[in-house]
Amino acid sequence: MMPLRIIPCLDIDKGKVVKGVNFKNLNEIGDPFLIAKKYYIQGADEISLLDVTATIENRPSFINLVKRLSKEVFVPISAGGGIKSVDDGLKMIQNGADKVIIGTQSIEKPSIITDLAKVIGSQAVVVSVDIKKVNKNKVVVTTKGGRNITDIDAFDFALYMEKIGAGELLVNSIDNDGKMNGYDIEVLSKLKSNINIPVIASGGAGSYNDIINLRKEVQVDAVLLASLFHKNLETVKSLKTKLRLKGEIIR
Amino acid sequence: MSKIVICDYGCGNIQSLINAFKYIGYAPTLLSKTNKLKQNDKLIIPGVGNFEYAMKLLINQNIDKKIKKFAKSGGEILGICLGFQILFETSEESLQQKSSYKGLSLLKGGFKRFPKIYRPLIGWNKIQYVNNQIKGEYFYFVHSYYLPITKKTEKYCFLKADYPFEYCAGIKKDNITGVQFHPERSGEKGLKFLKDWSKS
Repeated sequence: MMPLRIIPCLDIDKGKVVKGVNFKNLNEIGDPFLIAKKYYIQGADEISLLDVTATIENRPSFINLVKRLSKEVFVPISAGGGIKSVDDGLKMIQNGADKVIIGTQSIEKPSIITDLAKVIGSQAVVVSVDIKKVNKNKVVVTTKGGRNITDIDAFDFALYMEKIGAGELLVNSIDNDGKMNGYDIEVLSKLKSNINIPVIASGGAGSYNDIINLRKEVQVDAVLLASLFHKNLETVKSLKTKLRLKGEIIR
Repeated sequence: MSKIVICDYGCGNIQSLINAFKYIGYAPTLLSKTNKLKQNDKLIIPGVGNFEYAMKLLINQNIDKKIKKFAKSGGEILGICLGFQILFETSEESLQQKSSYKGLSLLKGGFKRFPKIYRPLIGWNKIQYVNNQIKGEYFYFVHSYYLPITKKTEKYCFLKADYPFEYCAGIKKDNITGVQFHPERSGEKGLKFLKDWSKS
């Protein structure tokens, strides 16, 4: 068994780390460089950076952040938000990111996944999908941070992404994001059993117990965490210690 | 202090390697089709992606010959990830493509593909130093092909990984070293590995 990867995620807006509930009401947390560096030193297995607004004016500062961080953070860095072309993705890699996260474009223009994988390799292409339960039997993909609900079945989508070149799947539950009331275990478990590429669970962890409960049911490869760390409820180190004591294999 | 030279042949991201070496106090330079290696340089061969593609790039730029000559003259080489794989003769990756491209063949042996349920292997895998009591340490791996421990490789295998089964994660034969993991993305332990190799 490989250790469960603990990935702190920084949502960045106009040069600041922000965090909202259900992708709304963004609250400012602080300086992304210092926060990311702190999580690295605390033992993060990877760092995720998302340019949440991805405006043209703020793009250079986001890229500069990736560049500065990659000089001092020596675990994988994944970066995304507003990646619309192979060139956008390549720019992230050339500035020191190890992986590129593709969100909305994986639905609007799936060919970008294949094209990017050809240039930077599948291992560097992370597809981030925001999913929503529309009724008891149907889980669909959403875009625009959950504001736009599509009729694409989440499980079909995951399979398709794997087929066309995604290296990892980051699954964010819109219903659970930022609420800290636990993961959508049923959905994650079905997704994980459908695909071979690593599944990263995001959205919903309110305590280490939520992670333990998730892992009891489904062997996700990684968890992406924001609120838990940003609100200082845990440090990466304290979380890892607690998970280890519960029998999880942790780096 | 030897000079660290990173082979820049267009295969994968070398920025994080450059960053890592700068961080530990070196000023790495790049080897491309236009420049040469000096006797006491230390050469890093990185690489991410496809075995055949990497070899094509090296051959088309005549860098393969430079590497072979450098290796023969006793120059220190460190292959990382795909750069480790192409130090060997073959990989099932190119055999499947019915490719006639062989690796640099500085070392004997070939790579096999992980069974489907284990690929791609992405994450922190525990490695064990062979003939050493040091407790297992975690390094960051991303790969779908592995080097089996066989009669050919056993003698030179100094690092073993144990998931999903035991395979060779690091080779050292005289001046040639290779590791399957990414030391430049493996935190402080990875930086220490690069530091030790650079000093040796």
